[in-house]
Amino acid sequence: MRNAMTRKSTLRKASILIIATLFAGIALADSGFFKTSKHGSAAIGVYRDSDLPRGNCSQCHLEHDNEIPFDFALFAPNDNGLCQSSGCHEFQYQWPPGYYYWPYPGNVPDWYNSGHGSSVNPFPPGTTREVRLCLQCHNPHTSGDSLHGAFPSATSNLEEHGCYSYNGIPGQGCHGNNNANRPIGAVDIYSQLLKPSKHDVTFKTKIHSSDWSPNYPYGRESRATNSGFFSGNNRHVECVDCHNPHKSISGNHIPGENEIGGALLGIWGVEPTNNAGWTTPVIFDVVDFSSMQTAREYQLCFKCHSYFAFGNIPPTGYTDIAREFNPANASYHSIEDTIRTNSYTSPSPINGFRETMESPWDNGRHDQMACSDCHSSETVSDPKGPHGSNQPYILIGSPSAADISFCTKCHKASVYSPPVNPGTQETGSRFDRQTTGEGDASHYYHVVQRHFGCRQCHATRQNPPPATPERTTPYPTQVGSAHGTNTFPGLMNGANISDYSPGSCTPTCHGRENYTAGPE
Amino acid sequence: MTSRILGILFINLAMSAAALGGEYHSQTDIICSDCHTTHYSERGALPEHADPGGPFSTLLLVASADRLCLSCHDGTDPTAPDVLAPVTMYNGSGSEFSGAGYFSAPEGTVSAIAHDLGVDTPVPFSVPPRSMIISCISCHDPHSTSNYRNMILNPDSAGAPINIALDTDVFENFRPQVPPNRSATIAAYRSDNIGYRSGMANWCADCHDALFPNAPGNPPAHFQRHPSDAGQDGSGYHVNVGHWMNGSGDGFGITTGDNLEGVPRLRFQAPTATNYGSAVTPASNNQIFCNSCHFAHGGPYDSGLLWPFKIAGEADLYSGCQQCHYK
Repeated sequence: MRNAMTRKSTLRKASILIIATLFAGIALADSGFFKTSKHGSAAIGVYRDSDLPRGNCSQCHLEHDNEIPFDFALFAPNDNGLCQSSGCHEFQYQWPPGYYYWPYPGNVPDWYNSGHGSSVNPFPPGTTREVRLCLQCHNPHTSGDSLHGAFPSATSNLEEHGCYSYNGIPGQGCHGNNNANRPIGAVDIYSQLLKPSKHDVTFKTKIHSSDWSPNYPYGRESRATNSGFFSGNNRHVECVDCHNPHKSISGNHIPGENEIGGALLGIWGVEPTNNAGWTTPVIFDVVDFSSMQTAREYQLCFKCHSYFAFGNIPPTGYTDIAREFNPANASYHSIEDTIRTNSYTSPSPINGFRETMESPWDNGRHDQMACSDCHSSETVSDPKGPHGSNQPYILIGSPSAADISFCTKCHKASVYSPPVNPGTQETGSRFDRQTTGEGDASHYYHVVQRHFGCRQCHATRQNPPPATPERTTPYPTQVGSAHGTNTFPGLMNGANISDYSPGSCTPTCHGRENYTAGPE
Repeated sequence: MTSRILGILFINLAMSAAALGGEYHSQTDIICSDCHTTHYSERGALPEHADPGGPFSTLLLVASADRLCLSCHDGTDPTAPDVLAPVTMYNGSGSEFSGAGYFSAPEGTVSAIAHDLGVDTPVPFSVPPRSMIISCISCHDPHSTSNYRNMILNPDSAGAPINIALDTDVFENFRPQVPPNRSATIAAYRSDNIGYRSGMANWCADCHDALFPNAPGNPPAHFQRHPSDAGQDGSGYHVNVGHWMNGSGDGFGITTGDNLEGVPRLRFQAPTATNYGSAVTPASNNQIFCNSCHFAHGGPYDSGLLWPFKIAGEADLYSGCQQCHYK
């Protein structure tokens, strides 16, 4: 009995010790990193008072010397004003050109206008700690862990963990999946990043801070084309590659436009110089996302998914999307420019003024779109943006060649998959019996009667074409094939369709068919 | 008539010393005539060891109490604790300094690293602001008190006495011997020979009273000035108790100023100590107090600090802070 009690007591003590150790490890994540931090550096550390050593504790803490005492014996009240005073984080920094320097609260108005900086909501809920406090994300003493060393930019958590973790526990942070812990206004991004297809922000650590000096202590990345900063071993994505936490505001892009939403303010992208169709743009201009009206979402994506990032050699599984979206191509999705020639995407005399697009593209214009219109969560109610999806390629729907649900999110199913045979009625499509004069030369016949998916004909390049193409079972799709092609108009894919022009289609399923077609 | 008055005074002084029964200057280690003369004016000749220009106040042999004290405690008497720079007597003793450190200069010199003797200077952190000329007897009563080290009971001459009793508030491992000898003196006065339990901060704050009380901070801050008499184990305090108790790594070292980061463990109060051993044993309830960071007399660094806290380029720049805070 006594032995059992002793064992129980020992186990209890051991449990307490383990819990205490874990807690200590979490709570004291700043242990020992200050000396090697940038705040504590003798070369670039805090220098409020030139009579004191640079980086010295007393640059911020006056021990007991302050005439008017403040919390923690600080020289000023323990709030953002302390950080943004004394020549420290209050400047509009003028960085050297040619690089991007990591988000920095140099512009105080920007901070207080930002989504984070304007939020007085508490985090964690139930406390009085407002989201807008610098200390919500930063530890002025610098945090770190034994695996990664000091965390860059004096953040309390390492990189993405600062967004969705709390006290080192993933999912408990502002953008975590614990609904009870999220401050008002914050969305759950962590759940998106747990999905099988995602921008994997955990893939690399500290890559942004690898190139720094006293002149740019928070790291930088090159803005030069094919600089190597975005390719090879440097290929990466972090939350701050797309979001500037000191400047972004809430809000997504306006559907029907390709301008950025507020969530992308404060970062940068690249604008390609487009040449002839299907030529790879190799010249890019840097675009600072300083306003939502002047920045385009694709410019951000091109930063990593084009020649700008990797030159002529895309990483395995990737393509140069700047080439695919080139408005000089024969057909493309309109993320850069409107579809200037396809009169069937909006009501016009030639399609009987039928609307062929779902909302919000059903406004009578040849609208533009953004990458995140297709690349986002598969669940409509989830936060927008290409964070993650249960569908491949972070798509909002299945890219399967036999599945039309993805395409009919935007292109009306009533037009391209009418539930009943429209006969000679105008559907709005150029490929209906009313236009072609032939019942088989219609979407109704191919999609509804033969059960072909959209991508059996559109937007699936394959070379060589599949041996038995007339199948309804999906065959592998090619990355980027729906973005654009210079092979044929109408995103005809060159796999099942070996030749195409309006009024003449040569599929691999049957012989050439000629029919009446409206103008392009 | 004069000699009668002086005789009465002498007897009173002797009796008061005997009654108080303090640590030092109260036994056979010193006699009245070592410091005073009763015959200055009788023959007109200088008494032995007396300064010219007398007689002096309180019949001292020399012009001031500081001068008198330092005549022994300046390193010239190998059996008396040396409190005037340069101090070498503790070299190799196991402690770098004596418990109170040392003055940087004799009286009349302003110093940034020590209490200034014989100079009218503002009293830091006093309410209301005031200045005073500090001397050895501002803090120590040469005729002994009931306090440890003959510290006076009431430094600012107001309010209730502040008791810091040996073997209650402060503990020693070795006692000075009577008559004194060099090795015993070193053993008794070296810093590591002293363990603290309570009372020191109250005593310092009698003059530096703006430091007490320390206004509570707003959570997560606990204080608005660095606390004293605060235990490492205070709930939510921004210290690393494990690091403190472990006593190695950041902040901890062998020697101050050896170009290696780390200094010897700072002094602390052990609030439940009952003897020297328990007073010097690191524990989670160890408290920081004034002497954790400052030498009472002074030391090699600004404000009498134990480590070069404000000297750029020093390896020990953060050491004292790191021992507790481990940032």
